[in-house]
Amino acid sequence: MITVLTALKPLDALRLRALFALTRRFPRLGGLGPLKSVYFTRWSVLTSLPYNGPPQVREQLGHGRLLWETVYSAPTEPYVEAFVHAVGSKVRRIWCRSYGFPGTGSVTALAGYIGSLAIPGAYSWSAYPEATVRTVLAALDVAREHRYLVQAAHTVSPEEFSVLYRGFLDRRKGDL
Amino acid sequence: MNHTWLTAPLTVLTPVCPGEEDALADSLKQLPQGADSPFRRVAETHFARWVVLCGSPWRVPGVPRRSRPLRMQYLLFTSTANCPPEQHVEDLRTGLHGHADAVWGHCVGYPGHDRAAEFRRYLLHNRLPIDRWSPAYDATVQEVHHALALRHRHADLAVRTQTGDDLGLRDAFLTEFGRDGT
Repeated sequence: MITVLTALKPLDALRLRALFALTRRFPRLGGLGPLKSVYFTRWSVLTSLPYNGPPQVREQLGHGRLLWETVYSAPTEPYVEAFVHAVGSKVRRIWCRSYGFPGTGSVTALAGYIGSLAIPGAYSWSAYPEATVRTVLAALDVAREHRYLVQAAHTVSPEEFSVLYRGFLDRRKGDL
Repeated sequence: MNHTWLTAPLTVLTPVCPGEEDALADSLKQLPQGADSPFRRVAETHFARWVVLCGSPWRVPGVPRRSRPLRMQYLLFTSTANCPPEQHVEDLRTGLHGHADAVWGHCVGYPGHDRAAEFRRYLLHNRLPIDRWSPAYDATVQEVHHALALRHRHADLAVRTQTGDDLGLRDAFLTEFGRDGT
């Protein structure tokens, strides 16, 4: 998992919120759809922090902060590389509003930027630590087809089932 | 697949009581890991994480001097679960039990897990908005575990039936997965 908090440039909290609202309404526009190595990604634009009374002090967040957290199943650098290749222009559109963002032209520079800002986890837990995103997606695809195979096993002849099952194996050989 | 609720994120940021930063770090280190983690008892939770924010992000070039780092430390909690935030917060309270107190007990205003309404109000008050959320899939934890097990069994069956005839293949399939397909 990576957690990154960046400082936003003037007026960019507003612009980012508008961009995120637009991409929620029109997801294809954002292009931040699923990646094969990312379980979940979240972005939050912060202009103030919840206040609980003393001894908490009221923070001045300036022009706002961008919080990004991603749960992935790859070493950081290949992950950043995949992330940049898959959604480079969209990431640039989001992160160019943060101070210090080096752009997506150089994976090394971007990995360095993320690395320098990444906040180490103090405690992490996963319900299925042994499974990568790719494995989970493959398993869910297999499970979807499995239901049809079970139904077919009870209703068609052995020869027809054999054709269906071999077809399943052919389609899913990369997933098993 | 039957969903009770779409996969949803929860992000909570709570201020650490001044002077208790080291004690919080110790508490987080002492939490049971892996199979012994208290998060196993928190229903429908895919992932959970605690991170301590302190002063970030003022280590990178380009940030103007007038921008100030955070003035105190904050505990960031993020999780992903298949239930509404209100239910997830209640599941955290009953699942983490005393472990919730061991961690959030170092935060300003934390009421304790034994006060259900205040606990819920506290975490929801400190919840951060999520402007963009991208899940790779939308399945419950149980569905993921079930699918992973099915995939494994299908891989084994494929190896075992490589050379069999059609009748043997169907019999092997039904033997492996039974009449109900599980």
